[in-house]
Amino acid sequence: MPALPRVDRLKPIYTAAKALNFGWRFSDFLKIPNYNGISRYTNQLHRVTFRFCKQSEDSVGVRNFIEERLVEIGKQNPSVVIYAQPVRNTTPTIRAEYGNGRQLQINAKNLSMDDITKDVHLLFSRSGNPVTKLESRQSALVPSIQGQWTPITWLSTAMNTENLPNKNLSTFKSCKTSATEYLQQKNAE
Amino acid sequence: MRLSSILSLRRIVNSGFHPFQVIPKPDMWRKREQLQQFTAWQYASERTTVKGAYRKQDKLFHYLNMQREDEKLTEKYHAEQRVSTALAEHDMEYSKFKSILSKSHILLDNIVLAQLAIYEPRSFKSLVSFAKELARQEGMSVIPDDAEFSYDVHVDNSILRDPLPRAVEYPRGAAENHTNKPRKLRPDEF
Repeated sequence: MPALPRVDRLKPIYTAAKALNFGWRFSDFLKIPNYNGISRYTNQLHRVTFRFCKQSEDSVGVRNFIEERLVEIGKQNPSVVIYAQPVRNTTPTIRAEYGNGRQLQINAKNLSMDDITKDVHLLFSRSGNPVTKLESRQSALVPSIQGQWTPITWLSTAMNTENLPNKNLSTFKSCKTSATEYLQQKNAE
Repeated sequence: MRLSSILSLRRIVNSGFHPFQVIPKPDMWRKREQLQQFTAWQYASERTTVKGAYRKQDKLFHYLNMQREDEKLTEKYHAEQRVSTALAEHDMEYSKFKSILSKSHILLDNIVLAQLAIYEPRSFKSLVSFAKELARQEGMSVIPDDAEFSYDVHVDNSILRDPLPRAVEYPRGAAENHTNKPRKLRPDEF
């Protein structure tokens, strides 16, 4: 039997033509979950699970990490729940679950303790958002701080009470002197 | 689902399953669904038929390629247009503005200036006032700002220097004419 398709065959055309069945875009702007860090910062990592084997050589790094560095990291991040799960005959992995419901898994097979430290530090500093290529090098929560330009941004307030046409407002501004101005200046001299 | 008459084998329409082929038939549904992601927006036979959809998809890929190549140039062109329009609102000329910025070593690209003009209009206006004052001191004729919106600018001519050299852009890909051999290096270039 063929593999079960993930997309419903009866979906209307426009939804089938939309993005693929992933929950993310390939290139996107930087995103923060729930305005984290604006007034208060909470660690988005909720749970970390270390699955390792007590006997095999691949999990040496994970075992050493758990012995030496895990407790300290746990004390430094009291909001994160850490599980250490000894499982026979598995590749050692580190699973992380985040506030937005996403999960990450790092294969820790044959990794040294230092490599695992780096990876764990990365897991602790990530929000659960997927890694995407940046659309732009600039990103901000608000599009404009001073207020986006509108046609009335630089409009004089006198225009509210003006009766148009107004001679002063109708003057043609130019760097070059007009013929009339030149003659007037000459006469003045 | 239809049962064939003699063999009573299940036959699912349009699936990759074949009752006698050991290596299963390639799954056509998956390929066509991926094709439809590009061609679902088309009209008539380009959407309904597979052949028309494949023809259209080839064209679409060509268009995507063209757009990707043109993106850079069009972005620069639009940014320049926007900057000169924003300057016109403040009665400043594009050439004078750019020359003053380059002489005062303010390395703001057209793209960034356009973004400032749209999203940070007061910052842009302050830049324009700064440039106007310097231009006036340089002897260029400028139209002064309205009293209502003018900024108080205190700046001296002495900050202007020679403009910085332009950044060299090395375009990607092979050179236009590959038959021209690169010139021999001089000893001082080694």
